Amino acid sequence: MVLASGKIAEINQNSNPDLYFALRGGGNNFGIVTRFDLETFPQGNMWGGMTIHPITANASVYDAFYNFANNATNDPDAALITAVALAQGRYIFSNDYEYAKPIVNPPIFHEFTSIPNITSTMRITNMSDLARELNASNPGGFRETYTTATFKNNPELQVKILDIFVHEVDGIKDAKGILPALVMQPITKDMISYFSKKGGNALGISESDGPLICTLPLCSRRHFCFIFYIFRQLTR
Amino acid sequence: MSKPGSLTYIQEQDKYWSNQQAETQPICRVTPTNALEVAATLLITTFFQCPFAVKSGGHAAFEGASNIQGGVTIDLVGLKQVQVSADRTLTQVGAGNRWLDVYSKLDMQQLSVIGGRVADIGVGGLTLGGEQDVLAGEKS
Repeated sequence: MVLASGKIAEINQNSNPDLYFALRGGGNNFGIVTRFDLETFPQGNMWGGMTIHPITANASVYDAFYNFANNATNDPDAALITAVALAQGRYIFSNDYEYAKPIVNPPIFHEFTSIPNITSTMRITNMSDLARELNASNPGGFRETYTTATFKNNPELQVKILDIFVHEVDGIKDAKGILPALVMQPITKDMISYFSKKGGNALGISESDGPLICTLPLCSRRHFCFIFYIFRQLTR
Repeated sequence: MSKPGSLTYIQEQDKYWSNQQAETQPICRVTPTNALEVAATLLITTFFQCPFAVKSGGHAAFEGASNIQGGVTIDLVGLKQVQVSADRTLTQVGAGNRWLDVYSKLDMQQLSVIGGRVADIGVGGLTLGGEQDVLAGEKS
């Protein structure tokens, strides 16, 4: 990275442990990073894609989410992210799944895949294809805002958060060009266990805190957005 | 370096995900091609006490994240190497890459790294801001 002095230096846990630690979440406050050296591992094809469900499936989705987050240590090849969005005035779930091996419908996902879907793009593919697909549901060209809050794994809480989200968005959903979404992703015990690798846990959470749900209300709009008002309602 | 009105400036401004960032107008944009040029740009900019911003993928959702009204924007898009080591255990990734750039090169070699799962997100912002990854459960 380039430091404020203009010096170009290799920063790692051995050379500069304090700076290396500070960069985890420290953003652009300490210098300009010009290159990242990333640990690399073999990775072939994957199974993944997206499924759409009506909002009435929320209890099933969040129960499946709860069990997935608790059982994730049994199969760390799996990952997912759920989102509630508006499509033509209707609330829907748009869930995204990834499995690191080319195995169709592995057991860790069964509770999700047994929920009736409106559409599904689940298929054998690769990481770049999955990244492109998820990108397509986050198009550019809008004013954007989002924020996050993290809770303990709890399906009743997720349903409650969803109720608040729907209630608040109902008041603004006819605004022209508005795209609100409620995204939730699990932070599993496995993931947390790796946070301390190479110099310490910058997030201050331990495995026993997990699994956690990272909730992310997001709003895209051509002109402006009510997202922070909605978020205050959600966190009350 | 590019200034308002030039094709390069317009094209680079178009790469921001959020409109708040795309509508921000820096006095000029600089696109270094290596770390030395980044350092030189930084030293010149700070010598003249110019406010500046730094851009990797430009996917942030708040104004000022990686573009700056009336200042200098240092765009790292020219730092785009994706170089796998001979033993295939390490990949050097230039900070101007987006995750799709990284995965599409690594997929061809049946390799991967821990990273973002949305194609257009930049390597810089996600890595330094904390990330939620597909393969993090098994490989972090």
